[in-house]
Amino acid sequence: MNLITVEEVEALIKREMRGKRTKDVVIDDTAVLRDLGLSSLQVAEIIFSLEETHGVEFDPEQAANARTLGDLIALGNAALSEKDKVADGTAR
Amino acid sequence: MNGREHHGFILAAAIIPFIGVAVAIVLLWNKLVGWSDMVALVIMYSIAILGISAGYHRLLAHRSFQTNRAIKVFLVWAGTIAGQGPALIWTAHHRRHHRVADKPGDPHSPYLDDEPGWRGALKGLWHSHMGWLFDKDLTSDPIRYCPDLARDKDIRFASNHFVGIVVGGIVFPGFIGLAITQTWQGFLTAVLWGGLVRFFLANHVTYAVNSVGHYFGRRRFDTPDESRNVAWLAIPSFGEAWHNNHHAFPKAAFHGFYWWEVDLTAIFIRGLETVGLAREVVRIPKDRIRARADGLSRVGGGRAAPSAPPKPLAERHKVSTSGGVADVE
Repeated sequence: MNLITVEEVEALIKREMRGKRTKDVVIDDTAVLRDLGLSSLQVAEIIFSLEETHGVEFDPEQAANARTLGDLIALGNAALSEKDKVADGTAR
Repeated sequence: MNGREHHGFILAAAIIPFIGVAVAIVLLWNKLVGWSDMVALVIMYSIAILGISAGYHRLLAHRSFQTNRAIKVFLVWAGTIAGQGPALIWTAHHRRHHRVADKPGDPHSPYLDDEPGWRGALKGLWHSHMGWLFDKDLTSDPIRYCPDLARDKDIRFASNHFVGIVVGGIVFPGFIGLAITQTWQGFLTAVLWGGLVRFFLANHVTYAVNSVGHYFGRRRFDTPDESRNVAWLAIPSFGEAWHNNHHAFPKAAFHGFYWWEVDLTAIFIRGLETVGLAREVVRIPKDRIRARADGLSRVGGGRAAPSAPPKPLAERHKVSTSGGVADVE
């Protein structure tokens, strides 16, 4: 299973910010999405790029409510493992 | 675009085209405007308004018809050229507007209700026309309101390259002028008319649907908002001003319900359908329209239609646009 990693999302965030990110902001699991200075359009770009690379669908309502980067990654990985279970035939 | 750049863009979009109109008038005085400029203006105005009306509004926000990828991309880019915001943001605001039209949470209701009387009315009209665009705290999250559209790579691409496409749409008419006049002066005046003057005219027509279209005009349907049909605005807005019709049947691809309700966008969509480029065009049966209209005609529709909710403006409380929580009614 190809899980979503913080590094991967960090690269996406940097691509969106195009080097304009303030240096003192640390990007890790606890980083609050709003504080990163991303617009709603940029967050959408990150989420739906992740969907495409991992072939998974985020629940839009839950994704919109995600507060930290960790929340978002957990949401994506939960959907990924669900998808894998279906593929393995182990889903209930 | 961060918050500051966003504010800068809104300000630029309000001021630069206005300066363009002023400069255009001065040039007109000096007879520096020719038919090539008018051709550029008409072509670019039609592209921008059609992009907003058929593209952003009916195809994306309401999914009132389906089309192929090429037409979709053309309409999304055409709408982007109008400069009213990236497709995903525009449609998110619009879907939210429909959910809570003229109630708390509506991004651009004229019923702001800051104060009673004329002052309050004018303030509300200004807010619904352009004022709301300056609200830094107003966001309609595309993830929440239009995940279906955000999953489309073409729509995301156009949204992410918004400023570039808008600037391209201002420069492009110059080539129309250059092609007709074969002079660089023709290039520049065509940029002015097809780019800036067009920007100004098309945007105010769209803004007027939000301000005038919820204030002055006739009501045929008893919708739970203040939407109204504005005949004089229907022609420049390519049919968008049949706004009470639209709020009564938001998914309808045609906003004009009778032959005398001119709707140029409907003619365009019907044309696409005829040549096989549009399908699943949402039509409302005539008997449903009549049945719905009967509800209001019993108590009297038209220009003097009662307001819904039936409460005088002056008695309303301030409507906040930041939260979705109702603080009136």
